[in-house]
Amino acid sequence: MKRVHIIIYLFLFAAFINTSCEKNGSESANAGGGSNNGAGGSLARITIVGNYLYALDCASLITFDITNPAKPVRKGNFTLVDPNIETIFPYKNKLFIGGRTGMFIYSLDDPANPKKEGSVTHVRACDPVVSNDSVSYVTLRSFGTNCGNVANVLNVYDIKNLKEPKLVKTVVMKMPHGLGIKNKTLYVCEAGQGMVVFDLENPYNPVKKKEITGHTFTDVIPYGSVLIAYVTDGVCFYDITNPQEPVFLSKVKG
Amino acid sequence: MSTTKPLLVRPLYIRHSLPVLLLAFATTLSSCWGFYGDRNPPEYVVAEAYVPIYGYDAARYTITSRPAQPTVNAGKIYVWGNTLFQVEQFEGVHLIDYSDRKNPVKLGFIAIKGCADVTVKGDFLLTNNMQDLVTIDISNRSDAKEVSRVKGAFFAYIAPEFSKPDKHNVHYVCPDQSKGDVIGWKLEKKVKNAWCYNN
Repeated sequence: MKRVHIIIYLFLFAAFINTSCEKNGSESANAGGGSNNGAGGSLARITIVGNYLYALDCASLITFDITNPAKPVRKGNFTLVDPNIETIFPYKNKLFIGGRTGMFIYSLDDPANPKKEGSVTHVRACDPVVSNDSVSYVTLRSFGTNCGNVANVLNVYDIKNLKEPKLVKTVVMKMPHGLGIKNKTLYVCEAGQGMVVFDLENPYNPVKKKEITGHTFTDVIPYGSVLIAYVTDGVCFYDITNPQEPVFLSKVKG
Repeated sequence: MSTTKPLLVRPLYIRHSLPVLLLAFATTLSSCWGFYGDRNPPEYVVAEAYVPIYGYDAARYTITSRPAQPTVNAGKIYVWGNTLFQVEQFEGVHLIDYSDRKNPVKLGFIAIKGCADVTVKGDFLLTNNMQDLVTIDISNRSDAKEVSRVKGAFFAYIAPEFSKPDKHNVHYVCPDQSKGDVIGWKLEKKVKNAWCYNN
């Protein structure tokens, strides 16, 4: 009996080390999603977390084991999420899926078989979700691809209880699109209206700090000290050594 | 032919508004249609619709490295280290070296038909080529090589140019990828189950 206990303790200890390593890994990478050194934007439909690739396809979430990327292996069950899913954002061991009818949270405790943990379906979220430990930010917009919203807003959800995300704040926006988080700063793209920088000192109450204009912003990836913005005619780089004061570096276009 | 003739040649037993609703639903999910399989709504007939011509177009499944080229329809981005990958919508991926952040340089372009999303894991780029999941070895940035392909991994990833006719305000039969690539369209009369509409 004692031996069994020791084995269990060893196992738990190993699991603890393992999870704490993962934590460090994802934090050092950045909050833009992905793992190791890679990161995608908030509009992605395919993402990689560790040795797994997750893709949204029609109404479902599909999983591939890419331990050997040269030989992807289909995994998991057919996971029906919602008929109108559009974006997938990984954070630590969770996937946040944004769709026209809501936000869906999947646990990756068993990475080959994502499991639904919670959702908010009363919103009509057109687009993306980004999250950290206790809060999710979702943009909703009333224009574009059949979104059917009446408002252009940034919604803030308390996700301390993943099973029941709670809407805690709604910020009126102009044309919200993709978004990204860097520590205590949130960037929200507003297409031709620019990009808004929010202070997240209180994560449940984003405070508008700055508006950056001059480009048509679609999505962003905060990546270490650089903010990479997908703009309609290419890509822009900003220095975010001071996250709330992005400094324009360059643009690749044409 | 009278222009006031109703769209539905055979109204069926359902109320008039239902087919319209179903049609609207089908339009939003056109590329997902095969996916719904036996849950297709009841049969209906339109006076005129475009019907896919199926075949096989090998060129769509050939992945090639090319020199840097202009960005025309900028798409999604993915970053790995000092390389930024930007989708050229439905055409491929631009490789951009931004190690000098003030002077990023385009390294080249990988032509991948239908490409909509991009992800990277080390020396490998994973994306969709039409409905296939492909892994591309990018260890040599100027000589990308396909190393694996999962045929038909996706339903929904179809470039618009291959998924619907090049005409507006027309009904068309939603393509069924299991029948092959859409290599053309033909206009037919009294077409059954043309659930897709290009507005």
